[in-house]
Amino acid sequence: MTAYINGLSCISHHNTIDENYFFENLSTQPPSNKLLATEPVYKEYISAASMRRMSHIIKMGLTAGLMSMKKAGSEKPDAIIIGTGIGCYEDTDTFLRSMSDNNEQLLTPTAFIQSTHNTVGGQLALTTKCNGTNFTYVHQNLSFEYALLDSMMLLNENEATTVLVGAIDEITPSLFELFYRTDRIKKTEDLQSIWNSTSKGYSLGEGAAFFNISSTATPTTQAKITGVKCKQHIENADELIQETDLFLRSCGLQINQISLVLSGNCGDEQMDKKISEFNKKINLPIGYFKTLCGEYFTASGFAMWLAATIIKKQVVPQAILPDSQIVSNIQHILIVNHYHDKEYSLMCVSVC
Amino acid sequence: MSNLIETLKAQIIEQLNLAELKPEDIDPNAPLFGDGLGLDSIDALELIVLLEKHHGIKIQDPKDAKAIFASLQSMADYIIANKK
Repeated sequence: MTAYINGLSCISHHNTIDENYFFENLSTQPPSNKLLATEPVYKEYISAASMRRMSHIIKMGLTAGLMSMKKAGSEKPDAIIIGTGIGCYEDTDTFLRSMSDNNEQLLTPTAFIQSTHNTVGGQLALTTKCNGTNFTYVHQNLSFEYALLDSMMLLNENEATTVLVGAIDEITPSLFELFYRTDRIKKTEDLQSIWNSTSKGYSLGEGAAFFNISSTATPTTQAKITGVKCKQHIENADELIQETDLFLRSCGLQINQISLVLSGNCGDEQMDKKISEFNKKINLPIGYFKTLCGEYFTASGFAMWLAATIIKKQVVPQAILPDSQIVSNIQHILIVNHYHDKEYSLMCVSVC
Repeated sequence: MSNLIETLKAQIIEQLNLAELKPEDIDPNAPLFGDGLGLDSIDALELIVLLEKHHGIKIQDPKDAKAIFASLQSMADYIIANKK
């Protein structure tokens, strides 16, 4: 199965809305354990009347989706498929707090309406007048991968010509607090580069990445996705190498054809143990994408955006490389991701 | 009455998340729905909850809602007439 990326957009901690700006001005920012998104001027994409009811994640998702459509020169996709780890958490939080504070009385409709996981998919369908397939996958760290897999199957079976596929997740104060209390988030004093990390926890991130994909190339095609594979559990680095080898064979590739690996190390030494060993053993240039976006359920969406943009620009941002190596003639990028040392995924992005 | 109007303006801006509006932008006699503030049916539900939550007034007959929520002034009149 192959899918062509004809338009893409990303809202993340860095200014990824303008890819030229991103590549030219990317600097190593002061380390933080909370990587909030750099947001665009939403009113350029969403009417004020609609926006007043939208929470942070809905604005991010809707805007990124519409930007992706614009770049692909598309007005309406045949299907909208979205992956999100925890969906509209802020609205869920607001609604539940209101239930608790008001003894389950006097509940207002807005937060409840917007709290469902598929709100962004619904808003995109309303805005683009798309009444085709509309699914939202909520499978924690594999949400985007399953959304992508479904999108590629729709294309492969000719049930859709173009699909808008996206990845969205947000940080809310209560989510950050919850993750911090359970030691998932790195203490400020422990912050260091992901590849040198010897401490527990990670920097929490958020963002929205959207892709207009089709089964055939168009004049706006930037890269192609040649495969997606998910694996709930990996025993050790050798098994990951074996799975990668099998995966790449299914994509018609061998491991020595990979120009760059975008590795999903999160910065927690223990959680990263297997993937770090994998990175050492495969002897390929490694880029650590969570240096830029942090860890979140759909960070692989950011990795997909980064891979397709690297392929287009033929430049790897120095900020994701552990040393000053130069990676050139980039033909195939392998994305290897994991979450808490489980829910591993492999994705391959190639030049057209 | 003028204090109640100002209070209602602030409550409506907060409850309906009308962040673009300032209290002075709301004309007490302009329609809340349609041409005036341009509110919709979801806002109507929010206003019903606002009346009950902040002013302790429950609308008994839904048919009355259209007249009560015609404008900010009509809301204030209803609150004064029904305040216990």
